[in-house]
Amino acid sequence: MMLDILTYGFIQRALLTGVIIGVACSMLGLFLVLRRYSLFGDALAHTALTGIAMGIFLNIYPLLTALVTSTLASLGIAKLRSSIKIQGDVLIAILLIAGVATAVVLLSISKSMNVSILSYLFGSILLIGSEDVLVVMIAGLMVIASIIAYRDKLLHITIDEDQARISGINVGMMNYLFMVLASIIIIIAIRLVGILLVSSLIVLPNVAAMMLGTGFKRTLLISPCIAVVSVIMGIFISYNLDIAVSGMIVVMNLIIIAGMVMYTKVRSKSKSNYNGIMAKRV
Amino acid sequence: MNILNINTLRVVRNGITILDGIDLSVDEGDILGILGPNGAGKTTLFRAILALEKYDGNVSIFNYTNEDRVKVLPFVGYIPQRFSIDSNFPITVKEYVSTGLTALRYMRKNSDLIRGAGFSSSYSKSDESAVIEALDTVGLIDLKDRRLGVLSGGELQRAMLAKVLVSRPPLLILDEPFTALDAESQTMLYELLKILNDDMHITIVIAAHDLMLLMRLARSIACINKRLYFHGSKDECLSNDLLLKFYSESAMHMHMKEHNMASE
Repeated sequence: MMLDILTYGFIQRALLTGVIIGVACSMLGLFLVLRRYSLFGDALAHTALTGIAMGIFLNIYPLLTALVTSTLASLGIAKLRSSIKIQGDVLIAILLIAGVATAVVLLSISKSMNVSILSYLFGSILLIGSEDVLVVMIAGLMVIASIIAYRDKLLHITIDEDQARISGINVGMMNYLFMVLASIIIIIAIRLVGILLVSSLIVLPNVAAMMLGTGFKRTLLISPCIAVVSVIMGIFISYNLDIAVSGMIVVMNLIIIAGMVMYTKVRSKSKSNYNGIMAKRV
Repeated sequence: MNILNINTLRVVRNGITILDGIDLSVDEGDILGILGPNGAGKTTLFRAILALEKYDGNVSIFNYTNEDRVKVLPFVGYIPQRFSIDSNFPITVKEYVSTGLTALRYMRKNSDLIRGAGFSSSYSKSDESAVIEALDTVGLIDLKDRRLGVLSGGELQRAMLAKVLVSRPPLLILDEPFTALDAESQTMLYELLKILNDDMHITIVIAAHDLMLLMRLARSIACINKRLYFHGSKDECLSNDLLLKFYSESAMHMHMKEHNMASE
């Protein structure tokens, strides 16, 4: 019964792209979270809104212009971070505001403050066409492959940039590459959960994974698994109960985190009880 | 062979001169102790050597000068004074030490760059055994699956040393490694550095403000406080009355300060 929905083409497309986007976002997100750049995805997505507004204004495919603006913004961040001393969070705040402000100005000029902008704000994975599926697959798999290939170098830079530099890693190059990957994945993630919820895909699976995994390798494996579970569950539940997909995916993620917090609490409690009993016996 | 050579080094940051007119040379097998009070510019000197800081003058490592030396930097192990890691950072001690493989792989690939400057025995080892051996050398093998963030200060220091030792770099630079350690860890690190120098023929440059410990360990001494005040063998340093007076006075000063603080 439940599985009937798998025969629908739009559900198949949503599941396929959703899983790829979820995996790519969570893997890239681990490095963003560890570098204390959790809200970086949010900022990039908001600058993408400027790109989308430009696309609507100039009548070009909006996600393409969005990719251009967010890539420029991310490279700008990388450059600014190394040249002037602005705190990371301030930089992100500026970017976030600038993105929305210019978008609002552009949209009101072109008088296109309408429904289509809502699909960018909240995502529209169920409306994804077969051509879009191809784009998402190519971009998503490219990001996943790059992260797997460069995971050691990225980890090294995340721990200590100076040490990475001394060890012969081209830190500047890697940072630029990383920023470009981040902009690509955020643009395609807008299709899944929308601009307003993009950071959830980046942050939440990793928060949960970091509770479970002691080591880096394990965390990098667990986090995409959590992302996949929440995307699939989110799509199924939202279809059956007729709820917005993007919100449901994020809520699933939050439920997983809540479950893990309780699990770790119970576990540490039972452990300390056990230790208490052992201490009494001795 | 000359491992490190510094000529008329000058570092100016935000209009303030931090180091000026520094000349130093380090021969293979040496342990150069760098003495200087806090704020003397020891860390800046190391950062300039490692191309992490802008400077004027010449710095040569394994006879590669200035920009040219960037390609031999992976042959240098560096242990900074400060390193902290979030206790939530998901990385095990072994995974952290394994990041030292980046340098080892680079050294294997480019071993022709420094032929003659001590060929590392690590080149021929497998990645896994290089990591395990490094963990074993610093005595962290039992903690290898712990999260790095839960280690004590002394253990973290040893993990950093293990990471560097994966590649057994011919030159090792340590910035105030003793400062944050208790007496037991200090002795352990001291013995370890002795072994690295005696048995593995690793040339060491080490900064400290603890005169006694450094005098025991070092073969030659450089005294720095923005400028170079002395550079020579340990014996010369010990027989230089003026220098000893300067450092014993500052040591006395520190002692009295501590005393005052304790009695308050």
